[in-house]
Amino acid sequence: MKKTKLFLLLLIIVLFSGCSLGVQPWERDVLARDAMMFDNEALDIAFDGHIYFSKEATSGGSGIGGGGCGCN
Amino acid sequence: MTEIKLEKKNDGWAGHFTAMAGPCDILINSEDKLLAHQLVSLAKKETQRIESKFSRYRTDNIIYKINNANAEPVEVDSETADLLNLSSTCHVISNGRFDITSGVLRKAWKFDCSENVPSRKQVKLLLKYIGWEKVTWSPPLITLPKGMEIDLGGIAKEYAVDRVSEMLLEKSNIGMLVNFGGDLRVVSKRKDGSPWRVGVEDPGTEKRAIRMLDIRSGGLATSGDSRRYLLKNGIRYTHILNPMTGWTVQNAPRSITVCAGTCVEAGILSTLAMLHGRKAEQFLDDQGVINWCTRD
Amino acid sequence: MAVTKNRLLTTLTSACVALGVSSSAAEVTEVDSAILIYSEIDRVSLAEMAVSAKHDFGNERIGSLKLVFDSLTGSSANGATSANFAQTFTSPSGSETYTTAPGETPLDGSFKDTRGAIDASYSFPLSRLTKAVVGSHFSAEIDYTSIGANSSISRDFNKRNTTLSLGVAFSHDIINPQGGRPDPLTTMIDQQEDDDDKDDDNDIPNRLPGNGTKNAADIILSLTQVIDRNTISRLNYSYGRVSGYQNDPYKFVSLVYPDSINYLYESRQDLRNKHALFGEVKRNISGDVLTASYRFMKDDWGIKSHTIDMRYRWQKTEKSYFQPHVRWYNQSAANHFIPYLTTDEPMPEYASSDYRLSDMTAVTYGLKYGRTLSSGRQVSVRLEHYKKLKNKSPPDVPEVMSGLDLYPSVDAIILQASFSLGF
Repeated sequence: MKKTKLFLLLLIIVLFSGCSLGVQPWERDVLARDAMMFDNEALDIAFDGHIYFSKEATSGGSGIGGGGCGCN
Repeated sequence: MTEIKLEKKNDGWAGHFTAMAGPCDILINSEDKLLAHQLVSLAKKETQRIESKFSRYRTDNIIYKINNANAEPVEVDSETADLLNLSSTCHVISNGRFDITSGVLRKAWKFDCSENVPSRKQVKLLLKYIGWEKVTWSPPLITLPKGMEIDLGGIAKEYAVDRVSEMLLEKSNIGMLVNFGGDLRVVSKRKDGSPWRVGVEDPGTEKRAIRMLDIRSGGLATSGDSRRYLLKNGIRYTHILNPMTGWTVQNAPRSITVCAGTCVEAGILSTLAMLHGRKAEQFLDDQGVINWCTRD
Repeated sequence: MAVTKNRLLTTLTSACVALGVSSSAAEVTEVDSAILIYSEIDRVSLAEMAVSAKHDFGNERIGSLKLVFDSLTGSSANGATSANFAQTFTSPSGSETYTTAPGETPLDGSFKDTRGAIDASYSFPLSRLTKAVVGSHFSAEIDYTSIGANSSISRDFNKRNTTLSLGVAFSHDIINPQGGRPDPLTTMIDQQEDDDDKDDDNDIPNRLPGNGTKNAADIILSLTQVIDRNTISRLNYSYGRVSGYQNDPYKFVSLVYPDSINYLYESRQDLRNKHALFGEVKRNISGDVLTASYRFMKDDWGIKSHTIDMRYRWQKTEKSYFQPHVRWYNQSAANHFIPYLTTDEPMPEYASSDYRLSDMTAVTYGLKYGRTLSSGRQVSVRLEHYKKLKNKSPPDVPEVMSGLDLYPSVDAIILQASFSLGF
């Protein structure tokens, strides 16, 4: 089960890097906007992470760092 | 606080704001208005930071601290140190013509189009407060002798143009150009490969003609100002002062526009050329840089 | 010093290059601050404050520092089931009691905690396309201390359209509950019985010696991919292993007799292995931005969860936006979750009635408004409603609990105000 998942992930990586997905450097206008950054709302995400960590059995997944709370 | 104005162009957006006593324009080769607004806001913030950090009209910045230290050493941050190092290098390579301590001459010279030319004595008295070689500069400590002052106004605007350009380049690779009232820098080329076309005001003529230039890369700067001069007995005294004599440079072109790798480089070359007076064109040709000089 | 004409330009150019390189060394610091209030109706309230600063040292070297303070007050479900009669519990410190009315969910009202946390990280380039981040955190509250470190490395491929990164994180936590660590599945101490024996104040029975400790290790593999001019996506796989003391020292499990209830301290497994897949897409839709993510988590406690999160940033003008947000969460129960124990069944090795380990579905919806001020500073406010939906009570419940709502819903309001400034 675990191996299948890892294999799938590797397959996706190979597929992604092998094909020509993406843009030319001079086409990065929309992607350069703050709102298009994954860490654009870092404080909001961290607050939510803290709340849901103390209310639900799942945490993390989107990144590493932070953490450390006796609320669960 | 001035507002940002965005103007639609046929190939993208132009952002305008006012800083460093003049108009500041950012040309952006993208249809994305939100990105344009974000980039222009960033440019404005950085320009205002540089303006307030190096302005000699403020009492809360590093320039004020250095100029009012009473011959005591002042420790400067790395950015100020970089600019002082550059000024020091320029002082050496120009054989003393480029000097950031020459600002005290404005106590004698007021370029208000009048005929108030100062007396020889007046100028001579000020000369002992001028000369970068009298300054003790051992990074990060600077010590000015009493009565002397420095002014980075001669390169701050060009520095802001380069600095903003580098910040914008970090944000996006789309075509951009930074133009602060004729001192400009191409940040990145346009997507169709065509050159940027900019109108640079030629301050050398009374009519204030606009010279259209095509530029693909690098920086451009203009020296000369038709509005700042003195006129006495038919002699025109331009605002370009030679720090070694304390007198205005004679027979200099009315305006010099220089193309170079960066805006700071172009700005220093045009200032140095001015200081060469009648030999300005020859000086620039010797350097092998593209230039436009306007004479009467 | 005589300088030849050509050397002048060379010297000037190199002086300007020196300036160019270090000009990105100009001191640029960005500071974000925010305050958040989380409040459950009739239950716990949390006030949280955060300040984060990001300093650009130039040459792609960025340091960040974040400080968080929070304070928790109010009542929290203690895990025991509701019953048709009044129930009395001893507070964690062992010195007080509280009584829950018939039919009510037992809540421990003595919750009060403050937490301070500091996070620091530094990111720097290893080569033109490779970047590394190192970080650490420390947090402390009255009964809990956590210290940890993390590191990651990422590399760009395919004209920087693809980024692969690998990260690891470790943390070591120390749990020192008020009144000591309860011995799992032993009976709640009864304060009344102890009353005449005041000398034993410092020696509460049914306690484990010393502090509890917990170690966590996480590894995360991440792929970020630009799809087209308007779309960027990422996919993360993470594996986490937590070992050590994982009980909630303040939670009970009800042991139900035909006409009474006994309260036991909960008992959780001390090893947990978690796997999670997280996918996220951001897409520009004529100036607006849609952010959608899905997370799947599975662990060896038997929990499987799905999280769907969607935000739509509706850009009203260049300076202001509204952002509605919807989140849906569903999890299956942990193997050792049990709403209550009965005397008919043999005593299990592990048992917890913490609703956070139960089957549950929760929904959040909210709205955020953000604005850029003319100074370039950004302000935003957001208001959200979080609701844990009610579960059906099991069909055959013992007499003492019949007709009661064993899994009540939880409603909470989240209010946040943020302010960002640059120096």
